Amino acid sequence: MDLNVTGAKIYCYLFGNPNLPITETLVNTWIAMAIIVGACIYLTHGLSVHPTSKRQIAAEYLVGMVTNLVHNNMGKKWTNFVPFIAALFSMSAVDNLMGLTGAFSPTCDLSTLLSWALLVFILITYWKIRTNGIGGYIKGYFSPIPVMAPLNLISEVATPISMAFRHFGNIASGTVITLLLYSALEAVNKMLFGLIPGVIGQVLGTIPFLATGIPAVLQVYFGVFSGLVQPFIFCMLTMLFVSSAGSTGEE
Amino acid sequence: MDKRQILRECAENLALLTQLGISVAAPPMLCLYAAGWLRDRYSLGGWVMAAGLIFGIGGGVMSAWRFWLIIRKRFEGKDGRGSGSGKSDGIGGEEHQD
Repeated sequence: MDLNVTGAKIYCYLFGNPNLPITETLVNTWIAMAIIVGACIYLTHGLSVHPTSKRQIAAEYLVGMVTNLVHNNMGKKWTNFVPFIAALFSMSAVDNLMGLTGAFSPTCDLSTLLSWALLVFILITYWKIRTNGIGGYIKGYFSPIPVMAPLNLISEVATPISMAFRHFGNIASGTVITLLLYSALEAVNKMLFGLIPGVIGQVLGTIPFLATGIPAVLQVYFGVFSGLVQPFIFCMLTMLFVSSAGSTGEE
Repeated sequence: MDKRQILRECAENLALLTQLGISVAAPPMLCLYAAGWLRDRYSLGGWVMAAGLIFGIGGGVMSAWRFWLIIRKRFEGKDGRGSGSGKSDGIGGEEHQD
């Protein structure tokens, strides 16, 4: 049984510079962005005041859903945050679901999630400074007692990183488990049909009967369920941390 | 509370619960990784790993505590305003509008 679990492939190097690789992650992320932009253009062209088409109803439903999510988790004063959460959710969901097609999911690369986490960290810091001022923000690191400053700093940095690890771990482990199952079922298939003597056994052994159907159950969980739950969790935690940073700054 | 809202609340609470666990686990791992890197880079002794572990555990406890405060505030806010309405306990108030 030959099984390879590798990261994103490197297609080529930008300007021949080895520090600027064009990876599978990068290409698939652009494909995901193109899909999202295409879907947005399709759903939002030819809108009317009173919705008549199913397309417009679907678009309004999706916008309403994200707006409610933001209002419920952050409050109505954070309505300006709706586009960001919608972008984050759709990007993550499309990236995850891309794995179902056999393409490399960009969220299987920790770099993608760490860049999102960096964005969340910048937002949290921005809102803390905006709410408490730079002095209050620095003072927050020395509470409750100044000795706690290093621990507060570690905790601050670890928050977005733990979010990234969580998302990456779920998607990457799902991919690896599914791959292992496919390979194992192929091997079992070859072994079982290999028991049939002659050419028939050899031919039947090459057709992966067992690998069709059984892994679909796992794909439904790891591909569809986890692929849609993780974006929800990532967005929810982003909303929680940012709204908390913007409302107290004491944590 | 309708069925969809119950499901959403369940999903949110499960997400928060599991994130609490990851918040505790992440700092020790990060600190140990950083300590290992420092030890190899600057040829320091094994004490760096011990220091990393102590700081990591401390950071984990702080993360859990801060996360707990955020969750508690969230639920207090929800209880205060009733489920499903906007947050109203912000200190910054209206000035957060962009």
